[in-house]
Amino acid sequence: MEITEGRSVSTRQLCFFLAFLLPVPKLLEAPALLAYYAKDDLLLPALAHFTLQAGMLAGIVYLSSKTDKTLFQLLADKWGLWAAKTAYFLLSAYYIFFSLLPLLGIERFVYTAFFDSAPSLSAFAPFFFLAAYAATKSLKCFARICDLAAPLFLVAFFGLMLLAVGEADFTALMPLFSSSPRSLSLGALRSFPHFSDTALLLPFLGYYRYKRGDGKKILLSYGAGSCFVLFFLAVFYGIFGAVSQLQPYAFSKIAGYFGGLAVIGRIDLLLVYLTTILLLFYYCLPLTLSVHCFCKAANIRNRIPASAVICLSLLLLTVFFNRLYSGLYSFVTVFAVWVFPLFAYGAPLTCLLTLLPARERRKKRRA
Amino acid sequence: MLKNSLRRKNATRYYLILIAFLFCFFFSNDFGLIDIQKTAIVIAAAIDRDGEDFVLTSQIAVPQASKQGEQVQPVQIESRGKTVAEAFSKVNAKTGWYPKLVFCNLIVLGKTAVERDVFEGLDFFLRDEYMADNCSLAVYEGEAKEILSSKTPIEEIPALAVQKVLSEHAARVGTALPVTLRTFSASHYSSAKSGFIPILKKEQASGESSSSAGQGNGNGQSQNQSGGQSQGESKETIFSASETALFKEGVMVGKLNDEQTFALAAIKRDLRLAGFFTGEAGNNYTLLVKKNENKIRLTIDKNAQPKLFVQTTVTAGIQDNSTPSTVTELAEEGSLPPALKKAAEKKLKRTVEEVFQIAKDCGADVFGATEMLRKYQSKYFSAYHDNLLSRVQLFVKIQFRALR
Repeated sequence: MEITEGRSVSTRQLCFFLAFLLPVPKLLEAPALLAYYAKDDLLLPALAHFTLQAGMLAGIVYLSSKTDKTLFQLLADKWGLWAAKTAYFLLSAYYIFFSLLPLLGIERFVYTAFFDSAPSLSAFAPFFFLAAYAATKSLKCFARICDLAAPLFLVAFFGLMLLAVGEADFTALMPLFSSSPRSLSLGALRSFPHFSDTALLLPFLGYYRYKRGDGKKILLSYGAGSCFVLFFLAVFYGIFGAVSQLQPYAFSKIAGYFGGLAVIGRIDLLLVYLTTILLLFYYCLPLTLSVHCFCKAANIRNRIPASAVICLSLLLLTVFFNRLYSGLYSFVTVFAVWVFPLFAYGAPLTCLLTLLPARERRKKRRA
Repeated sequence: MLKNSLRRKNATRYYLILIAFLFCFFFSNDFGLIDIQKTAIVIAAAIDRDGEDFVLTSQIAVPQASKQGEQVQPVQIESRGKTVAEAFSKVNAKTGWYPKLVFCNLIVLGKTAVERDVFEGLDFFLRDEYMADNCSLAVYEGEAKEILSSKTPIEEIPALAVQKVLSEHAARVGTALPVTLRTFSASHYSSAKSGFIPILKKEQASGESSSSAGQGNGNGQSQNQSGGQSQGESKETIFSASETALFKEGVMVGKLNDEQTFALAAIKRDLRLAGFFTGEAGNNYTLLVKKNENKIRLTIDKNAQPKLFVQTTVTAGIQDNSTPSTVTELAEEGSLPPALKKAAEKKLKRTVEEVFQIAKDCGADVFGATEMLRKYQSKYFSAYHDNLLSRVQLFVKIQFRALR
């Protein structure tokens, strides 16, 4: 059996990841995007995504309850080594593709929230140094970040919501189902890049050992994370109403309308800083997974060169696409949007197929 | 081997320290170092129109050394452009200062700006990612730049004095109905396409109105004019914002006087320690409104008749009256005599009805009826939303409750 770096991820860490780290990137650009298409029904496409993703997550948990193998082993045992290697190369490429738009998004967000005018592009470079370091580490290290993320998220999220909720007029969400089915489905389709969580969990297979009762804990944690996002969406629309679609980085200013801040200053920015740190941690994950999958597929033990090459390439891509952001945005959310459901739904379902008995065994059983 | 391991550990440490150091710059906006000599910190902007051109007056805070230490002096720069952005860019061209809007907390719209869609200019501020959208909006029925070039005893910088009369405190005591760029934009882009903005008035600090624009409706504003005083004696002005401009599709279509503004505040906002003036049996009273509870509801009856119910319960007590009171009356300051209560209810009800009539005449849905139709009676929305105000029946119920 493959060495999985000491069964590194505990149930607690996985639950913390689902409840406290997965919701964070959804607070950035997704609310304005959903409001643009679904208007006051913006909760519905989000709810649909969460429900479907919860189904996929249940499938992955079921898979981990049935086998202790890693994803690579599962694929290799079922379809051969080359199939497993190809799948891992594809996953590695997918994680880079997955990161591209959010990285440009967070870069633009930081420039908007923390800078008064446009800074130089190199200001965002430290993130790639951090990601390059994180990517050389095992998944166990990332799991430890989840422990750290829990208190940071709770302080930042509830702090921001406490300051913001008083300004929100929740009746702005009325009437339910006022948007056309076309707008709702378009909102759901375009927001796929923000709600494709399960693809990130596949490489954790085999690094986490299933125990009795874990299924409930994991699904409840995902449910809690989803509730945080839905509550944020409701407060967001309650505050901005008809101009919600103009607020791509709402969480940086959502608490700024609290009356007391005029006297004591923008202390809410401390909470925004905390959330941004969580975002940086979160965006290290796809890069870590990309390096992990690449090294596995290419059978490379030393991750440092692979990490350096991948992170440097992404840094160059970020600088290159910075000037072509709207073109890349249209490409990812319109022409290449099918890639996200392919990996977020297709990949887990394919993994579930590995549980089916082989054809020969089935024949024998029938005989 | 041990040496190699230590060297590798040290390399990792240096790497992490470098990352932390670079992140410091990343998060701190390079520690916010801005060249004050090259930056114009715009604290307020006034927008007027001259034909198709925007006339923009930017009030810029300039730190200056003085005997008392460093002080901020306001400087007004006027620039023109076919768009507000062009006018702002000319500030840079004229002065060499790069205009920063991060601290812009006030936008004043002049008479010429509100005669056409104000979003021809305001949408620039909505697009600007570096500007907070909770800056206050105000209308001045003259040239908006006059407000920023006024001299006021309240503050060194007139924009700050204006912000005081548009503060949250002013909203609570009902002397103004302040709005921010965000709230006004949200109501403008809603189904009602309506909104309101407070109207600024200039008065001489001694009490005499110095504003030619403020002559339209001096209801209660200039009652304490000191007759013989000439304008030349004191040029210092103070501001008030107790009147309100009504907007439909971005154009100013009507206005409310101070009493009507208070009535709208009483039915839409939460009042605290507000003064309400009423009279009963030839005696003038000032009631102190401790709090109010509002409810506005839109229903459609069996005959498809839309009905708007406005219900407000005001908890108030006598603060003062114009005739001497007995000791017993003074001791019962928290109570409201039934006749006075009735008079106050009647007056507020009548004023709310006046507000409704004005809103109906000019088509500005300041009651939010169209939004209520969309939210709660959506099946009637397409049929009624164009002419809801002319169809709807108003039912006003005002109740005054004594403090004790």
